[in-house]
Amino acid sequence: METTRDAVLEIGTAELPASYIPGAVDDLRSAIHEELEAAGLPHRDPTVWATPRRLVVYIPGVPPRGEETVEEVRGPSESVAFQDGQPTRAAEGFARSQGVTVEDLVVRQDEKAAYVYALKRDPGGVATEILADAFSAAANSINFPRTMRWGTGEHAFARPVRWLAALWGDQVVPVELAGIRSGRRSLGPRYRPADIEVASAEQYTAAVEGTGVVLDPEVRSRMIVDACGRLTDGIGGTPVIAPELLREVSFLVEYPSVLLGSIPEDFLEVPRIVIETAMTSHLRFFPVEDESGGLAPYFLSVINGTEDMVPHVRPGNELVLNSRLADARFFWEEDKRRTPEDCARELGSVVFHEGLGSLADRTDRMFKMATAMVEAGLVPSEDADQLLRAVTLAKADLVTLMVSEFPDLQGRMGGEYARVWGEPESVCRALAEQYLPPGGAGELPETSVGMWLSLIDKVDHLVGGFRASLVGTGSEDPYGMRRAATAIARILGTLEEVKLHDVLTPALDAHGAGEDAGLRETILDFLTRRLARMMTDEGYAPEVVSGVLARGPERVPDAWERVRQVSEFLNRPEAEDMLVAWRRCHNLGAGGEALETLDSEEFPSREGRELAAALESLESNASDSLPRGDYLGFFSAAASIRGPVDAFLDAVMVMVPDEELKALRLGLLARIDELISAPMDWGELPG
Amino acid sequence: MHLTFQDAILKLNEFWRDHGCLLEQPYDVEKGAGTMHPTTFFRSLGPEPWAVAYTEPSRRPVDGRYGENPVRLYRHWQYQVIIKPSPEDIQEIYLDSLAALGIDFSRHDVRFVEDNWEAPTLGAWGLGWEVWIDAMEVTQFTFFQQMGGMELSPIAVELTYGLERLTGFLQGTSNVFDLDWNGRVNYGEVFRRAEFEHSKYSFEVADVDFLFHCFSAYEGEAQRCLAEELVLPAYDLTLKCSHVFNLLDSRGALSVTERTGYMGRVRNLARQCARGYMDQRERDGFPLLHRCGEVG
Repeated sequence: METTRDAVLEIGTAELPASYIPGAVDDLRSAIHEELEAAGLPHRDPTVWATPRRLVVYIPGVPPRGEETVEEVRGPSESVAFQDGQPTRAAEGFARSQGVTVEDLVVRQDEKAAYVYALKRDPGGVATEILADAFSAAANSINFPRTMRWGTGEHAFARPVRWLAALWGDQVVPVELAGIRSGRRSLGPRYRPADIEVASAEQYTAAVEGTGVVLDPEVRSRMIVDACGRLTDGIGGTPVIAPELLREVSFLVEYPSVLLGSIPEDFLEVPRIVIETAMTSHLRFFPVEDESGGLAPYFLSVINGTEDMVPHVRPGNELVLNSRLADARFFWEEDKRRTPEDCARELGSVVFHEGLGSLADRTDRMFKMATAMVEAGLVPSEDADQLLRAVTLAKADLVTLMVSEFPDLQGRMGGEYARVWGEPESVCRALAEQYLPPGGAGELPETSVGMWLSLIDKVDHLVGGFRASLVGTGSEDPYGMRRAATAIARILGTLEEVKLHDVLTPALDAHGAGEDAGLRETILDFLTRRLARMMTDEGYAPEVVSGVLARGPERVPDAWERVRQVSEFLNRPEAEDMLVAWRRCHNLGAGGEALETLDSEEFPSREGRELAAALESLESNASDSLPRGDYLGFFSAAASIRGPVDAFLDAVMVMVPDEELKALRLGLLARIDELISAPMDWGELPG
Repeated sequence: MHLTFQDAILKLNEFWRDHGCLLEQPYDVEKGAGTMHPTTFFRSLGPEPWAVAYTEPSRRPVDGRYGENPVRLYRHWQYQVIIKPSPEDIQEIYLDSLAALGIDFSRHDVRFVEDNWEAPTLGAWGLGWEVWIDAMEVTQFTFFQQMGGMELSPIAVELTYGLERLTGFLQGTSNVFDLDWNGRVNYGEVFRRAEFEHSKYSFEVADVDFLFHCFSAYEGEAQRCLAEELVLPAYDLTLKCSHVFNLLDSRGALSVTERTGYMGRVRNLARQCARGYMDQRERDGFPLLHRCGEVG
């Protein structure tokens, strides 16, 4: 066995956007795996690491050559290839065409005859060559969200490529990327910029990490969490570390050290969400909680460098954060001086969108919708007053200084100001929950009033968007129409008794488009398609989803139930019986009018009377199980009608000259078809 | 390390002179960003190499705060460096320039944080970073990809130092008006009154009808110049349009659709200027083309 060596590729770059790195790591991992499999180069599991300045593929256990392979190619029959044990001209020609000698021909007997086969041996490629191709392919496989050009403008990458280190053992693997040729040189981190000479792949990790880089992002994340814990233990606090922020921060540094800084205590008078946003959204600092769970006058900042830098970095960090917080406190104090009425007056002069009026117009529409829904008894009566109040205040925070400075705080700031204005707690919470679920995904409002407020906000947004023709094309959703539709579908998914039209009608009315049947149809179709997408994303078969939605998404929770139960039923043995019964009825019954009344005595044949009786009993099952949402129970019962259906169709001629009898029989079949396919259009399933 | 505002500019001038940049001066037409200086807008186009550094006042009427906000200004100062093609080690050169101002990177946390830059009125965009030192954003670092609606190749890199932020960091103050200008007079004593008056003019006094009239008049004159192949006067008038547009914006005189429309009109002029300039340079055989390394 030849000695294996490790291999490494380091793509050195100018600082990559943190959000690009996880995707690049995934692309590299899958590409390197595929390339090495395809080339037949043995290796142990590759590892992919990344920092803001390097993407690294490390492959342990790579032999000097790929595996030897033998391919067998069938040639002429033995009798043609050999005569008297001597190869014929045919055999020589075949061997030549395959690039082998006649000694490499063997005879194999199959069921009918014996044939000559050429054994083509491939000794396996040289590891450095295979690696060169694999590295190059992997690097080029990275699909960055956006690329740029630099220098001469000939090459594109997420950010300029600066160096390329590629080694197998102590040999350089020749790779070229963006005009840079590979070598054994690497670079230390920004805070300790040293040239690194990498002697061999096996020494790569030690050489680079020795200059003060931590290659593995998971290790960096752990170091951050541990250091945050240590520092806050000292002050009796707890760090508040959101997982997404931790991940982002781990891709902003090559070596993390954590700094504990403080803010003046009196800033804590400002609402917590403001302080947290000032710390996290731009500066990527972590807040700290005290023992009682309140915000402590500290922050944690992850710096790119070693701990000895902390005392030098702290003053700058505090200066930047404190000036942002001073701004925020100024906004808070100024905004608090205004009354809801002051804000409402200003809403009239803020254009919401061309053709959709001002924010005051939007508020009016939402108020009309809320009133109509309250009057229709849809909104629980105990929530009605709070909902109307919340709708009135819904957009007031959009004219505050705080929200113009921190737009992400819209809604949540509204809740804070409402509290200052002395509004009931349920109104404050509803305002804070108004924009949930964020972007359609994420958490729904927790309170009932919040749920209704968010629903009204999204439906007005959607209807307004269609009125102003703001639907995006392709994957674009610039006006958030799809996100709004997803949010609507999700909220309605929690409201058992509310129908789509119950919310659509007041919205269209508020927009003065109550009579616009075309607009209603378009919006309904848009919502239905969003719901279909959500269902297929959950793993339900597209044909089941379209079959169910063909019968309407009138009540969203019911549509989900139908999709779930139809999918489950199709896995049961009796599904076959139901489908056969339905299809036989449907194929013939489509030519007739379903009977309006059913009387088994009308049928002259025994089979007819028995089928009619079976239908009667299925109908009584349906009237019991369908309103309860027990679709599985109904489908199982429907499966048992196959016997009577088969007996009827095998024994009785349907298309008889007697028009009355024909209509009777067709009508019976049509009525069965209608009943069975009421919850789902089975015709969507592949025949 | 304490460095006065004017010494920071001097140090940067010396540094970039030593790195082969031609030192220009501010351009005498109002503009919202140093990128609008003709030495950047035009010279980043086409194949000819270029390297230049200059200070540039940047007027942004909507950012005015009457001289009351410690970090917001109607007009701030940028130090601009443009180099085409972008040198391979431009980040390291840039860091050396900060070191020349006294910043020690074994003690301070330097970050290159993703930033996508766009100037819709110039038909320009680029990718690069905000540079942070100890979380203070001190520079915008951009590789231009497009200018005047034209795809660029080779690529120019633009470094925009925010002089107030940078000297604020060096002097340890977050209040721009407290910045030490020359050891005797501070920033507020030089400019606070100007901040107040320009803010009051931009938000309260500027006559909207007059501004609308100016916009159309400058635009018409620019088109007349373009018809005469007078690219540079046309560009000056384009800058005038851009500043008038910014004033209209700060007066709240433009609805969303109008805003887009006016921006499109400025961009249209900028594109024609860019095309006119390229035609001229091409006719002249791109005279600086083979003088790489000696143009600065």
